[in-house]
Amino acid sequence: MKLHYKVIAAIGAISVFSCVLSVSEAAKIDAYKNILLSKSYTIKYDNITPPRRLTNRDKTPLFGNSGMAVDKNDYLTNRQRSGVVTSDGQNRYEEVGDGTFSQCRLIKGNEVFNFTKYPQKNNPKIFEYMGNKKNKVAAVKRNYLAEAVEGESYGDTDVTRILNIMLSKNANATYFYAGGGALPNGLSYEDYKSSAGGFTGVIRYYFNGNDLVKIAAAEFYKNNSGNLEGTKHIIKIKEFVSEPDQQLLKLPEGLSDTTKR
Amino acid sequence: MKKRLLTAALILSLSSSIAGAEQNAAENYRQIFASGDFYVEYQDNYTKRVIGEKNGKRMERTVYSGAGLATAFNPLGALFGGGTTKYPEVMYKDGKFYQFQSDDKAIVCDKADLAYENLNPKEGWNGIERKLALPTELAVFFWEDPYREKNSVIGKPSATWSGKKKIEDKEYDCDRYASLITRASGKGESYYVYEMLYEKGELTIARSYVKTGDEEHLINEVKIKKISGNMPDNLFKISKKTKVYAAGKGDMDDLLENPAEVEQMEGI
Repeated sequence: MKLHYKVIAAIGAISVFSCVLSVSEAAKIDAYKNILLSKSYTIKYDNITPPRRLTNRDKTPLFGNSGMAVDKNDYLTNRQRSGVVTSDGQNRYEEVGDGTFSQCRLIKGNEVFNFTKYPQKNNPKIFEYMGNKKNKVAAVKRNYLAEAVEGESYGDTDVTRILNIMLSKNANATYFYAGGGALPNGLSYEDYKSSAGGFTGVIRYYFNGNDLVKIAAAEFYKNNSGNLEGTKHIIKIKEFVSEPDQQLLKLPEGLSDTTKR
Repeated sequence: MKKRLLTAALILSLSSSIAGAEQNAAENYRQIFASGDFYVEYQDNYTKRVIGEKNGKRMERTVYSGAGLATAFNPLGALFGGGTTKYPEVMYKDGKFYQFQSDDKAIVCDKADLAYENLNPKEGWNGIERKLALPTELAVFFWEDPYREKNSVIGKPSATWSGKKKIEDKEYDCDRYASLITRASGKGESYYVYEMLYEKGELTIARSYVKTGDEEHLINEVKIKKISGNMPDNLFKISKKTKVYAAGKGDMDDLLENPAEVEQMEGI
């Protein structure tokens, strides 16, 4: 009789556990969504899929891009890009590069500092900066419109778009939970899907335990000529935490501010 | 979604309650633009521009700051005559876009070919429709403008407020309009706000803002010099025997940088 109770208790415990598991699995990405919404984060990633080369068909919108235009830099074409984004709610720093040469943007309140960062020729351990001049940078006005229209920027344009999908309220591309499960390599995943008006988008978040480690996304749509076009992205998440990196939220040593205020 | 509907409803209810307070000139401007025969002269931080439309032709000319010296006899510099060139920078006519490189040389591209992938990117055809667009702020009077840059997330503006506004000791009659930006960045709903400032019944300053929650940030300001119907014939001038060359389309002529002459214009 006692054994019987134990079996029932065990079955009960398993079913409760699996219930909790299924709820928590579907909610794993929500933890990261909340980090983005809190505006306090440090994210480090590798965008493994390089952007398509721009042609003269590509149009730059009047309102500007919220992400940095890394796809217009020849040196980054067909290469993996690494990105760092950190924010404390008021200030934000973004950096995208190939490991040695990086485009950087520091947003402090209403001001934006754009500069590049590269190792010194003679001493590769020390970085040099190029703003308006070597080791000098002047602030420009922050583009609030691009942020309102396109969402917050997370460095690389593709990563910006894909991370904004998590927060998307855009009726044209709302992603819904489409399933999830475990993979033989020990990772688990959550799938989200959007299909509306000739556009299909799928996105899979990979988790190691509760840690987001990879994002894979594919999008298909018909172009103006009616042909199917598509893009795919694989993003390796190296770090995604809610603590801002304060060291990065100020102009680096060696780069002076020449803004006339 | 519910919240968005509510805010949209709020804009609508606001607009119906204060529609009577809009400046009389606003409706006049709407009629001018709808007539298809108008011109606009305005100035922003970097440029002075003239845009005109008549008989289905839309033309535009830009003077970049510093290019035309303003004097006591010609206070607006190169923009309004005074011996300076008057040819348009860009023109749309009969299904074709023209770009003038000098007063007697232009290049041309069919409207249908604008999306052609082998168009010479150096010629800048992808920005040509935007050059003919009126300033974004004037969308409150001419939302149907075919050259207005379409952005699916910014809706049609509705009137939200009318009253007086003081800027640097000067008081203006002010009309405000707002468009809902349907994609929010996680801070709550954003609005694209248009602010029209009138002096003696005429629009003199048009501003645009982005408003998110309680934060409002100025995006752009243009000083309107003139909005008028009946575009004068001499506002733009194209000299006789202007040679028009075909746009580079990646063919042999383009490769050899020897564009084919396709027509000769006999003035406007």
